[in-house]
Amino acid sequence: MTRTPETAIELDSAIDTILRGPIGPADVEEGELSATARLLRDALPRLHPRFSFEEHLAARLAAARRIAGGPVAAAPPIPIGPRLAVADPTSPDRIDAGPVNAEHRRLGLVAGGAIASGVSLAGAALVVWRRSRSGGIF
Amino acid sequence: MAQIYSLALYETRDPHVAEDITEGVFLKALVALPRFREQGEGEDSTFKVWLYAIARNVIANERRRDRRHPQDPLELALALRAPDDPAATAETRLETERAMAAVMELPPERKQAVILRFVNELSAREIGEIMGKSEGAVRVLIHRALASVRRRLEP
Repeated sequence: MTRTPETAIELDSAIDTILRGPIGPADVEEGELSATARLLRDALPRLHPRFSFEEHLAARLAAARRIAGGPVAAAPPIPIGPRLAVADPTSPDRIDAGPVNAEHRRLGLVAGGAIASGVSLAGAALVVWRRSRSGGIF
Repeated sequence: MAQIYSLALYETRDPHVAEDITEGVFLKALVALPRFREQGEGEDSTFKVWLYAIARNVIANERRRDRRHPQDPLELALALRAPDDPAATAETRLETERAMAAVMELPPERKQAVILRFVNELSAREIGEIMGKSEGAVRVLIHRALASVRRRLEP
């Protein structure tokens, strides 16, 4: 198959299409560098850290925020984990660490949800920070 | 977090160093967060670019400070799929290894641009903001990088 050379702009546009498209070979003939781009899209793995590392980092960030006295430092540590994952408050699996007001529960849900969905912790911190500055309720 | 870790691992090829870098990035971001000024909304948010720019600096500092022996680049490729993964045929594994090796041997800026484009799926504009280049310069960087990879992969 003869492939045509592409300009940098054409290639960039083709990469956008390739990244949005399904994994696998092209349905139509594509340029030589687009074919290489498709190969890299399929060949380069997205690497993930160990879950234990994510937990460690979450704890470090929570501790660092308390020590640094950031914008939301007055709040207690954001509860992350099974306690918030239990929907039924009467469940025997619930680990009750004392009274948690609605604000803290919402903060915890944001942070816990962010981790669970792969959104960055700093992104979650940004959201919390913005909310705390605006005084809004989630 | 996984995106920052992924970038760090590609750059250092050492999972332990990549974890150290990821931790450093988020701790720095946490400290610097009050000074961050959002300049966009939704997909135009500058937060992601800001975070990647911190990561790029931390990676550069780590590289200057600690020149450890990198892992064989093929180890990353081999970690892509479990050995018993039926989808990982010998042919696809070989292709993956060759592509990985070709990317890892690119000059540093080209390699970083390719990783940010294909692994982190950032746009040329975002990569330009992270690397301090114009969008056009990043397009050219990636064009040249793919041409190099293609030459390497030719039989």
